[in-house]
Amino acid sequence: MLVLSGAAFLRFHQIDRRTLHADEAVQAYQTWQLWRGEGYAYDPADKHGPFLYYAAAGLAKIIGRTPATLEPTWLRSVTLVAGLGTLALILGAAARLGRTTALIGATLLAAAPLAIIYDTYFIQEAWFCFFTWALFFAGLRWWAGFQHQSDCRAGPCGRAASEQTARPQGAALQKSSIAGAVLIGAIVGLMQATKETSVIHFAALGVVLFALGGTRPPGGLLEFAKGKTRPEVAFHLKTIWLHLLAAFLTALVIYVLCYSSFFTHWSGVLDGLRTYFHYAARATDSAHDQPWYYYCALLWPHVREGVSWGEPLLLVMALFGLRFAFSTRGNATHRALAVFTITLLLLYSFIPYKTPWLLLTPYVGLTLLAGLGAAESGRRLPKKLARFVPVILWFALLLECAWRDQAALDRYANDDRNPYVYQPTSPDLARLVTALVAFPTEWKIAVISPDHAWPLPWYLRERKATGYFTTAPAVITDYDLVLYDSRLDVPAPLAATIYGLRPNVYLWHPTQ
Amino acid sequence: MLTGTPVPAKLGNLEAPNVKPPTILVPAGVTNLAKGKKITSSDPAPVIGDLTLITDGEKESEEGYFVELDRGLQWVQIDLGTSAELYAIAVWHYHSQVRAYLQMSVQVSDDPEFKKDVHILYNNDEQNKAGFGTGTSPAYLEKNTGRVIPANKTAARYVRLYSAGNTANELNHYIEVEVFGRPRP
Repeated sequence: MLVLSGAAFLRFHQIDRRTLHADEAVQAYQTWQLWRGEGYAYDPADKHGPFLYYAAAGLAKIIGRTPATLEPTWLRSVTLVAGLGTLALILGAAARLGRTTALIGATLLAAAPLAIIYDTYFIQEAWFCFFTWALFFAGLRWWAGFQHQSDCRAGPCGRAASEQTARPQGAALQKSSIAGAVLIGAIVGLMQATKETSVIHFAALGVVLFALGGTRPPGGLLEFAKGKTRPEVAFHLKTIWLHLLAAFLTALVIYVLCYSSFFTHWSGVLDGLRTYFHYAARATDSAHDQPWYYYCALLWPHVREGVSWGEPLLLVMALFGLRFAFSTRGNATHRALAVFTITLLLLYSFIPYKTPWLLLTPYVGLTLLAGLGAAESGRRLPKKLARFVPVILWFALLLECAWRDQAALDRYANDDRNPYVYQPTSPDLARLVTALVAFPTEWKIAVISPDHAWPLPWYLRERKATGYFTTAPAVITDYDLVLYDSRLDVPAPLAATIYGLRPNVYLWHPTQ
Repeated sequence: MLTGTPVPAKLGNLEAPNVKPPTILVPAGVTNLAKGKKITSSDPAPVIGDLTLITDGEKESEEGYFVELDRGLQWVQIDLGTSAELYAIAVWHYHSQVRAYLQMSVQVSDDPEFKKDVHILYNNDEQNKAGFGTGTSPAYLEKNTGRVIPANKTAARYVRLYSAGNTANELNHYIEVEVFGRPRP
């Protein structure tokens, strides 16, 4: 509870610190439209899944919010819940990970600037991260439960084998594990309904299954089949297929529910698959392409125009954790964690399109590996000293977090030198918004910008007479105020009022 | 209407930082009185750089040439040592990005506390948020040539420059300040 309370405090404390990002404003706008009754239709060309909008609009309805009160702080609270959920998952998996590992990993994640920022960013990432790790732990739990109960069926669970009959044991086996399979299916469906890039995470989980499925240590499929008769193996295979079917059907129901906009937009069901063709076309040569080492460079010690960044201690501890996971003392959960984290990092590094928030899910893995590394670091020392080592390392890791937090969450929260943010909106935009509020509501405003100057449309959403253009409209004199984007081939006159939008981009209008 | 993640703006026409700025013409006998002079600031311990960078004569924009002051309204003050007849004040804020500095004012006085006999030479604070009056000077985009502000032969010993963030972030930056004048007879 202390970890969750501390995490909630850190996140709420800075929830208003950053100006609304363009991406947040686009998600907020769609949520607002849905909540106002304008409906929602999935766009396969450039948008993510529908979960975030329905979750936010649904929660707003339940607690009695109106569309007019959908302000950024409240919207960011919706993703904050997901961040706390991820922490709860880690703490709930303490028995598998090791109590010290889970505690260190959870507190690191609670205090990590990357997690604090994107747990309070109204985009899909926090929920996507939560569902991914929920699937990871649910999958491990299902497999462990399946193994235990199938072993009981074979005999060694407190009753003599002769006292057990196949049918009742088999029914109990199927019933209890099917609940786990349905849960897994639900999570898969929700992941897919959140972001189409869930296929990347499914692929990484597939690598975990493949890497650990044939291995010798306890937990592998081959190990599972040992000591069982052919009919028993056949029965278990049939059970697995039944569970897969249950999971698939559950996932399908959720997928159809969400992508059809609750049965109002059936073409969305196919659009959810068509989107992969759009993604394939965008996968390369995007303006957001970064080199393969982008994520490593983000965490590696570096200086950006006089400001120091990096999380070297986390990286070193994560390496220790990785080494331990693959040693003979590591368990199946440790190995699954290591394979999953490394695979995700490699996959995301391989894809040219990169932004800092995409690191969130593998970052959770890194904090857990760092926790594992810290928890197991004192093994070679005498017992009297060994028990202090995890505490010292834990303290050092938290100090590193605190040092980063001051810069990333406070002084440079809206600064593009902050490696954790990308294309941050300038805090100066608030000055423009204040000025626009002072203008009469019936004024016709034209915004000429290649990308509609988001997040400005969010702030002007209640104004009826606002036009957005990528080039100047034919008759400019129809408008009481014309805002130009600095990226246009229209030089600002000397008598222009300038407002910052984001790094190297400003909006201007002729001084009135 | 709904767009994707904003693309980083490329500045194809931004002048390279190593282009030398043009020479400023002043009457004979007028020199840069600020060179090497003592600087004080509302932020006495800047996180990046130190105050001596402001009068060291270097006008590059890279790390190591600028000082960064904290958020909010901040000032730097130059003590010329003696009251002087001032002709122009040239200021370079951070100019590796396209940005304008906000609530900017340039003031001169013989009072080191700037409580009396203050002359405001430049003020772009059109909403009077800093409390020095409604400014009518235009905000300008920073360039490596700096900004020359006429001083109209105003006599003063101290020069103080204010700003409160910029159009890109909330922090304040100075690369160089030059004060052109000659000692009063």
